[in-house]
Amino acid sequence: MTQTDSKLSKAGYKWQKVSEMFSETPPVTAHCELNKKFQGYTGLWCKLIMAVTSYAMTKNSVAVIHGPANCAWAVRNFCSTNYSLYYGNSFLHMPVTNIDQNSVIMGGTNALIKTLKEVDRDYNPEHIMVFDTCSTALTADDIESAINTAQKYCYAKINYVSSAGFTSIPLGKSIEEITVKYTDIMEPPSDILKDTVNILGQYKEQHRNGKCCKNKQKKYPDDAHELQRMIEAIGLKTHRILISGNLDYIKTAPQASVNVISCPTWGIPLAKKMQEKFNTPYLPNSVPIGINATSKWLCDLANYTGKQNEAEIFIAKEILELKEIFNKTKTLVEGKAALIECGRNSQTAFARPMALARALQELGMKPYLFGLHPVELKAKETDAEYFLSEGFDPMILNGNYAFQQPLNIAEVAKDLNLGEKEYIYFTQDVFPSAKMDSNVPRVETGVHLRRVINAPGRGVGFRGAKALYQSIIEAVNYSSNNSKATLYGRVHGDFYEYI
Amino acid sequence: MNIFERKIQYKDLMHPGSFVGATLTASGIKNAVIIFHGISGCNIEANHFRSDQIPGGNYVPIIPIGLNEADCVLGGREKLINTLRTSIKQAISRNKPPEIVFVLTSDATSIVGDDIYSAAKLVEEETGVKIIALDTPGFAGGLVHGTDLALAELVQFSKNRLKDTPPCKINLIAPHLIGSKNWTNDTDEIIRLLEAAGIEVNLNLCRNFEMKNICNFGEAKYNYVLSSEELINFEKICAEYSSEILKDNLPLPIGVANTEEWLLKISEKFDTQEKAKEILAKDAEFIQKQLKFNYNFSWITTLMYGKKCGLLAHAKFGASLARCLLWDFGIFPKVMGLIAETERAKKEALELLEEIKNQAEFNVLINPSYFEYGNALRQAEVDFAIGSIQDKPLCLGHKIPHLSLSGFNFFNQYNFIPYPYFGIRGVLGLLTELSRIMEETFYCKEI
Repeated sequence: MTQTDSKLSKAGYKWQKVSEMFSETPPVTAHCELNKKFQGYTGLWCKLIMAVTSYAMTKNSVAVIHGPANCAWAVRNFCSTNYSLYYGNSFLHMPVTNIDQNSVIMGGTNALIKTLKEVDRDYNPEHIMVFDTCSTALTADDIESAINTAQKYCYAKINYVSSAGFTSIPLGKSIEEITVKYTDIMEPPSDILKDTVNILGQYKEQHRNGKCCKNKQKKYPDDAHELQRMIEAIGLKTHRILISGNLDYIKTAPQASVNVISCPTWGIPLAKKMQEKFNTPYLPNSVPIGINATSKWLCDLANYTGKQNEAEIFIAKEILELKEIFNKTKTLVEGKAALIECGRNSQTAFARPMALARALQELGMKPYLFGLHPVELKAKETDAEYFLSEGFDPMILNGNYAFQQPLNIAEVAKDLNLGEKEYIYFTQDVFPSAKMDSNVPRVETGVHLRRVINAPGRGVGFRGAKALYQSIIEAVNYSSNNSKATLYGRVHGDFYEYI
Repeated sequence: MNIFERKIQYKDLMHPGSFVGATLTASGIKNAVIIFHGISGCNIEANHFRSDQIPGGNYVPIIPIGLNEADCVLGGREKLINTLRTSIKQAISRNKPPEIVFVLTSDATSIVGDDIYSAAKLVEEETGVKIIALDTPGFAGGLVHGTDLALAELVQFSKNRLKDTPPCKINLIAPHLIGSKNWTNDTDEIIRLLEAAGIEVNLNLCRNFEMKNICNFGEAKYNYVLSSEELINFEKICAEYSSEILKDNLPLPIGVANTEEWLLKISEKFDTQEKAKEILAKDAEFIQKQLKFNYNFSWITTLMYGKKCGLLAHAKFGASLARCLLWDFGIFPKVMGLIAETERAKKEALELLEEIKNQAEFNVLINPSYFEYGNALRQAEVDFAIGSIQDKPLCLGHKIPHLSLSGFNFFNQYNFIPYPYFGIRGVLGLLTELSRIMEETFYCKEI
């Protein structure tokens, strides 16, 4: 398949099945081996940023960051913009213990105790989550003891997520370690509420005890809205959407009959932990993009809860509504390749590109994933296990991705011997590859940048499928009838790509 | 004027760390390279703020050495050396060797104590490319600290101070600290005004700066630290070189009245007041041509007259903007959150506000937490608030319309027209922004 004279091939890149790339990559803890194999691999965010942003969807809560002021600012910088303004989350207060050079030498536990008392007094929150940082982890501050001491003087319940930035650098690993900590807030259920379902694995989207901001609820819904619509259409009730809500909302999550999953990276480890601690069962189906995956997601839930008849009627009706646009899209793209980029700059996205690939395969396309750093794949073992257990194992581009530089889409296509009309480019996030002299159909799939009226952000469910098909039709029509380069394509040029 | 400054343990305000200050300084140098010896979260923060220097400037690569957990415990010096060698050799092989390379640390690597200095020296000797290694963790300080370290190192490359200093030259120092989201265009306007007033800008450290010019550092009569933040190391070296720091407490030239005061005071130092008056008159004529008998101008400025606002900004920018809002537009700043890293910046901002304290009642919060600032805004019943994108959701949460004018360009400035908000001409830019917030505040949305 690979063209031996292509730039990618010469640089050692090769197309493999996901399972093969996963097996070939050393474990994420094999630092020496990884150093030799992947020069300049640095990760994307740090664990602190992931941990605190996971808390951004909670309410009546304060994140206390035990570290230097900059660490809070690093989180604030993205939390305020992306998480609040694009997803409707309240402004997350994140006071920091303001560790300086002295504390780095002498320790900062007293500063933490003092901060917790002050924060409890000034902010009067229901819940405080403490996050540590590189500095305080390397100096080995005893955070648990500090919290125990402070808790005696505070009304707010205080919990702790270990989040030093230098630990668990690959994204999947850090998420797995963070998400399970939310079970520390939960309490064993006194009753199990019949026909109730928790949606686990929502990240960024705000659900204020089941509701979110008007703009998103009415015009630009998120995934949980679509999943909730489907759950309620078969006579079940959504109990909790996690991670979101206030202390009581999270605390009582184990009262649900069953957990279902939106994003597997965030959702499955949490579901496993809830099963272990509270005996809450879960269904592993994740990111249901496309008709088949959505139908299976709902059917499995219906089978578990005895709602088969309701599901059968609902699914048939939804599929009937999609039939025309599905067929139209299939006619347009059948046999073409789908080049799916796994996060342009992050090189960390896996579950959603895989779910997208599964949906595109349903349309008769041949999916190829690229731009996923092998270490990041290895760190998403839970996600890989899920998709492979479903028998889905598409082709992916393996290579060293030196310094995590993105690839030129033209080179990727060239390596697969694809002409311009033979593929569609599925991008994600800023700086998508675009050239002045090419006219490749481009479909943006990034949650925050892809906004489609009445369609959920990640494109799940039947409504997500409809929006995906519509976007593909529009991209192909735009491209095939267009001879003008976009401003972006003209400006972008050869900037940035390594190969 | 009521001044509040709480002494508490915690902080919750805009406080980028030392390595961000160093990055913003280094990325203003043409053909520089930054090797980032820190973990990924700090690296991406540096990357994001580096983008401030890109519009109308240049792209300085930030190359992370790829630290992992083991490196952060056992040390990553070897990785640093390899990355330095690889990056410089690749650049040389492309016939584009960097003029200068910076090595910056962040918290984890600084605590582990990797010897970045010997690594830099080793590769500098091997390649002949200048390498500056700076220990810039967040716990050592903020933007000012990192800027100070970088500038102090840079200035040491200037060995020669001319004996006969030309009288009409000035160095602009640390323009990225002025606190305006439009700081690059605003600095350009400062340069245009100074030069029109007969004061030559010798060096702009650092914006579109060429390393070869550092040897001219001593040719300026004054070093003008635009933000008034105290750059301890840099200023110490200036003193050693007998290179004077401009000590006058000048407002930033925001709006007509501030600009007049600012330019006339500076030109007085250089004895070029007549030229200053000429450019001020010319610019006043320019805006008059745009605004006189202009119905829209009259409508919007009448709408904004007498309204109340809050603002959260760097101290000098905030104080200057408050004066501008009051004097030029008749807008009352009721709550001011002023952010300063050093005492001098705080002191000078408060002095500037002395001039308006009898014209309006207002509260000044020094380095407030976002929580305090938000509560103060709500209590003051302001019509709108001015800040940066990072405090926008705070204000929206209090149902207060918000306009971003302060902070940085990154993720904050979606006006792509290279036009200033500073100077008399910049009033047109400010008016445009203020008109947007008037629409947001007063247009009915539920129609």
